[in-house]
This record gives sequence, structure tokens and C-alpha cells, in this order.
Amino acid sequence: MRRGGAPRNSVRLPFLLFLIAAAASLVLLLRPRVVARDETRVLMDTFVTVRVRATGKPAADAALRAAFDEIDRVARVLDWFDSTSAAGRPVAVAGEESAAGVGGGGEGGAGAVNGPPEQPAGADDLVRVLAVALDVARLSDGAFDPTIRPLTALWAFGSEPHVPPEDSIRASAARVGFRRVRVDGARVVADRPGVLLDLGAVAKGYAVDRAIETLRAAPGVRAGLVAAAGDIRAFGEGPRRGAWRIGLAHPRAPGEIVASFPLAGGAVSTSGDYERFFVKDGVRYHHILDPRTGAPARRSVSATVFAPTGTEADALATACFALGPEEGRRLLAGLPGREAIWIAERDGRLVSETTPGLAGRYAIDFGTVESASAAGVDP
Amino acid sequence: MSDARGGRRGASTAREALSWMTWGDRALVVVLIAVSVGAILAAPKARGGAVAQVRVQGREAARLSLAEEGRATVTGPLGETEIAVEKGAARIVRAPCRRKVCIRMGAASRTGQVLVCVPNEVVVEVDGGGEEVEFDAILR
Repeated sequence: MRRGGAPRNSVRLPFLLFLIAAAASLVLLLRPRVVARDETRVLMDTFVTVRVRATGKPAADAALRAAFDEIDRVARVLDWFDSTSAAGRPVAVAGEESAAGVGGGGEGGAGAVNGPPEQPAGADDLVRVLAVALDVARLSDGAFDPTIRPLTALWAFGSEPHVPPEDSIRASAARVGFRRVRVDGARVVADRPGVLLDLGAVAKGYAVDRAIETLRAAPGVRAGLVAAAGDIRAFGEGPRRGAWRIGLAHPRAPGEIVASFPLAGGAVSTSGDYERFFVKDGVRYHHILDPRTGAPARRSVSATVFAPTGTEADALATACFALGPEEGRRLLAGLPGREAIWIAERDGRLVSETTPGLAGRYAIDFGTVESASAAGVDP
Repeated sequence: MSDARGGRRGASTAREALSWMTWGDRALVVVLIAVSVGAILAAPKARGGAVAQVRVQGREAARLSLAEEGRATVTGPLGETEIAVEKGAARIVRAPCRRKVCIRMGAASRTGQVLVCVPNEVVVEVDGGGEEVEFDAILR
């Protein structure tokens, strides 16, 4: 009921506007807020960071937990150091029955058996990883080889630094050969006994893929990023509006960034000679062995590859590192959508080389690599 | 429709407006003001650039943005140290050392503030917001 003689119109309109503003505030207050959470843990012998943007803290925390659980599971299942796991024991020979009992399985003459009659834990993961690994091994003509364990075991990076004698290297190299292994349906088989896998160049990329899939499937998740040192994959918008921002560490100056770029989707992986190495008599021996020479690959300081999945990026980065820029570019020319950056040493300087399509697909901001000096690193 | 008399009549208009309102109207206005203020307070804070850099034995082990909640666990010679970021400040929340001095150091939120666990060789330092080096992840 109106009282007094106040002119209605001069009060009503501002009041109405105030009502609208208040209603709008109420709507803004009540809409589901997207929160960003992240966590870092030590897994697979490195720091693994998972970042997620989800509607509400409970959803974000649940997604983080699920992602780390999945990475932990993959790490255990693909542990090639565990001689009781499918990844750790020698690959079963096609046609032979397993020593553990009834061979079973297999259609017709192929008779592919891999271990005990029931599917060994993680066989699916192993088959998926090897399918990609063997593809990259074929395409790179062995510059990347998942059967390289005899050589990596010989060099044993992580233990007492030593350079194995030439004849030991030759003997171990003779036991390496990706062509001895194939994926037969749901199983992995070899054409001779004693073939041992080393998934070090592809397992982290696969773990990253599985974690991303877990995040995508988690309720309320709008965006996510999983980073395991040299293997990163992301989807959705980053916290700084737009794509996630990634930096590439300078291979000779820890803490410095040599290139940076936005990652909106897909994966990127870096292989470098600075992760695990020792220096002896002025020579750097690092852990990325060239399967064809049995010794550390010498053509790159680091190789960074962009690919749709982490598994592929990881394997290709290792292959491109061993191949170097020239042969690496030839390899990637046959793989549309895959791009790469190499950092190599030329006359004591560090220079960067890229695939021709890189500039068109990824906005890379190169820092100081052209002028960076490689001197003073190897004592 | 404007008042035929013109001129400034703000004060008397306001008084007349208040007298025009019923108690129900006044209560509604109070509630709406409260809700608006609440919405402003609950809105996400503007992003700062500050970062908590975690180093173990001198080498960088993790970076946490102070603008978002997050956790990181790093491993030193004695075991795991966990750092948490909440409300724009970093704290050491779990440590393997005996005396837990680092945990009692409290929160670090301003550039230059440092939390240290000497036995486990962990240092948490707040770095000023240099926007150019703000990354979501670093490829090593």
C-alpha cells in the first residue's frame, strides 16, 4: 500500500534495476564454480603432476585420486624390472605351451600362448603399449626398440657409472631385435626365447594417456593436464584462459626455459641427454642408447615430439633423439600431425631444428637456444 | 514522468521513498543487499602471479601456484615432505624430520618468504609473480 505523495516513477526504476542486479548476483553465486586443483607425487621414478579443473572441490579431488590410482596401477603392471610380471619375464615364444601348465588358447596353428592359461594381469596394457612401440620401431628402422633390455641392463644407468667393453656391447646388442616380437591378437609373442622388454621409453607416455582418460571420465571434470617430467598431455582450457602453458627446459641450464607454447590438446614428449648421465674422460654417456650401436645416441641433445597420444609421443621422441634432425624429419614427414623440435650441438653451440609443419600448428616461442653455449658443461 | 516542479528534490524524494516502502519491502531490500555482497565475496579472487618453489638438495622439485589450492609431495634424504597451498599461502604439512620445525614455521605467502626443513634438505620459497615464467608444466 503506497503512503505519502512520493513521485512513483523516480523511485521505481532504480529500485527495479537494483532488483535485477541483485537477482543476477544470486544467480552468479549459485552457479557451479569451476575450481582448479593439482597434486604432485613421486611415481615411476619421477615427479608426476596432475592438474584438473572441475565443478567443485569434491569432484576435483576425486578425479585427482582416480588419476593417481591409475598411474600407480600402470606403473606396477608395466614394471619390466619385475620378472614375475608380463612385462618383466621373457616374451613367450609363439606356438610353445607355457611351462606353468595347460597351454590352451590359440586358434589353429598360431597357438599363441603367453604365460599361464588365464590372462596375466595387465596383458591389455602391455599389448596396447607394444602395439605402438613396435610400430614406431618399424617406422624408425630400429632407432627405437622396446626389446633393448640386454643393452640397458649392461649399461645399468643409475648404478655405478661404467663404460662396458666393446665385446660385451656387441654380445648384448645381438640379443636385441624388435622384429622378433609381434602382437598376435590379445597376446605378445616372440619367434625365439630370451627376448626381454624395456618399456622405459614408452611406459610414462602410456601412463599419462591412461591418467588423462581417467580424468576425462571423472564426473564434473572440465579440463586436465598430466605431466610426468618429459611426458605431458592435456585437454580443455587451462587456468589462465585458453590453452595450458608448457615450457621446455633448457638442456644445459637447469631452471631456464628454452621454448614455450600453448597445449590445447594432444601430447608432447621430450627425450634428452641430461636426465641420466655420467661423464668419463670428458665424454658424456647418457641413458638413451641407440639400439643399432649399443651406445648412447649422439645426434641430439634433446628431441621433443608432438603427437595425439602420450604413448606415441614418448616412443617417437626417443626415436627422433636417436635419429637426429635430418633422419628424424624424414620419419615424421610420413606421419601427418606429428611435429618435432630438436636441440643439437653444432660447433660448440646449441641450435634448434624443427619439422616444417611445426610453426603452423604450435605457436612456439623460442628463447635463447640459438645463442646458448654448450661449453663448460662436460668437465 | 518528471516532477513538474523540477529542481533537486533528492533528499525529500529519498525520505518519501522510504516512507513509501512497507516493512516487507525493506526486508526484501536488506536481503538482496546481503546476497549481492555475498556474491561479490564468494567470487573467485583475481589471480596473483606468486609461486612457491620447492627445492630438494638444491634442485627444483616442484612449483605450486599460490593462486590455486594444491599439494606437492617431494622426497628428500629422510623421506617425504608434503607442501600444501591454501588461501594464497604455502605451508609444510607433513615432514619426516624429528622436530618438525618446518611445519611450525607456518605459512609463506609473500615474495621472499621461505620455509625450510634442514634435515630433509627441503626449501620452499615464494617467488614473485613474474608472469612470463608462469607455466602449467615444464618438459624436462
